[in-house]
Amino acid sequence: MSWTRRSLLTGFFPEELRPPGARREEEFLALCIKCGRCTASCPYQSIRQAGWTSGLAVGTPVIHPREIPCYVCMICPDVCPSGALEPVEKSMVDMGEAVVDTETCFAFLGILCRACIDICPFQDTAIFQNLDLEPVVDTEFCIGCGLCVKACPAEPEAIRVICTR
Amino acid sequence: MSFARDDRGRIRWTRFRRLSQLFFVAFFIALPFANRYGVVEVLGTLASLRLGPVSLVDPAVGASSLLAGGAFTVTILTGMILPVLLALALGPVFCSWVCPWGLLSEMVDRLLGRGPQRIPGWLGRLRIVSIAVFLGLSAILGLPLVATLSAPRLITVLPLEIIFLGGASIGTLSLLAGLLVAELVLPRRLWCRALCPVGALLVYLRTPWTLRVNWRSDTCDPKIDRLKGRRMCVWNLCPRFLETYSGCTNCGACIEACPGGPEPSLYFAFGRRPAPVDTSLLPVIYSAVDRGLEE
Repeated sequence: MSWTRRSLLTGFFPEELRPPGARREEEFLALCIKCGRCTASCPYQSIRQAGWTSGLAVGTPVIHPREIPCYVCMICPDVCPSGALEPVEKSMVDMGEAVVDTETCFAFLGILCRACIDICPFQDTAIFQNLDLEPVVDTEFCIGCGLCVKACPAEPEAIRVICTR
Repeated sequence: MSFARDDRGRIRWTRFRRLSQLFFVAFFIALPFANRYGVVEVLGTLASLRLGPVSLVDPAVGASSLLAGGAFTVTILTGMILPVLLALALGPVFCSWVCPWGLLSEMVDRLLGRGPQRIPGWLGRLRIVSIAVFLGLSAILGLPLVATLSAPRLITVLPLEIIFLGGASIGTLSLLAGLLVAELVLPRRLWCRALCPVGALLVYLRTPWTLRVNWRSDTCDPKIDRLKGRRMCVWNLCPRFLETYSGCTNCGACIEACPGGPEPSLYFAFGRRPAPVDTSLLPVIYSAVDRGLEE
């Protein structure tokens, strides 16, 4: 039952990032009433409404980090009436995990670049440089805010956030 | 002759209703501008609205979310209290006095020049089916389907997207377009009247003591039959044949249109008023009784 329901709800496309503090996807979808309060509360206009690629979850809040990432100000969980977003500690936010594309990342191609490391709010724990000066993500500490995705100078971006909730 | 009263001295309900509807339209257009300036004390749409410490939640949307998740927050539960109390006291006035989609629907209806239509009886009973389907599917899918298709949510989230985010989303636009097509293709205002789960739930919150349109049997013109009586009603209801769950939203159009002097035969009152005694027959009865006593 669960998998058919899930595919109906989220379509066959990769899951999109939810605002910080979002519950497990299934619980989130059951609770979110698409009232737009999180969208209206975001000072960075990061939170948009999902389209039909999200199936019946159309209208739920999503974040497209390449356009506007999440600055983890944690205002939106406080205004959510349904509990789909829960107030949590910044370091406990789990929107997803950043993954570096070693084929296109400038650092891996021998060009000195640390844009993603410099922008990261959990610099040196969530993402750091190895001895070859390449960015390495520690999935235990990465909260998936997508600031690195926005900062990446490669086109298309060489770092993405994969939804792992 | 004034703004509030017509030349017969009767209250112009529709004017007050338009003012109320336009106020909410203006409110939901102004709100995203305020939000852009950092206001977070007042925010939201007609699915859920934050007014400082008070949170309001659409009862149908809240119920749908409850059934979908089996979980709820205190905010969702307490947020439904005020809207439910409003509906218990004044009936589904949300539909006729607040909802911007209702205003749009009325305007479309007027532009199309639609008058009373002969509507099969089962269409009116669609309302209960609509609630059952929407809430049932919400539980089965594990998704608050009422929220997805709620016209008041969609029409108030649109200015938020356009003004706050700088562009409407495909999802909102396509759903609104779908509703507009339904408005044009289906019988007169069928979405509002029978299919919209938000309004349907509010109709069933009526009680025998809720504000309703009453009629005076002594002054009401008996020549006005069911078809004439419903001519002024945008929902095609005749005020003389109102039942508790007919779907009347207390818009007041029939009271305003009621022929006669400053005291119309139709009036708002809480609950059903007993029909006044027909005094015109009293002399006949008295004389009959008198004769009986004499014999």
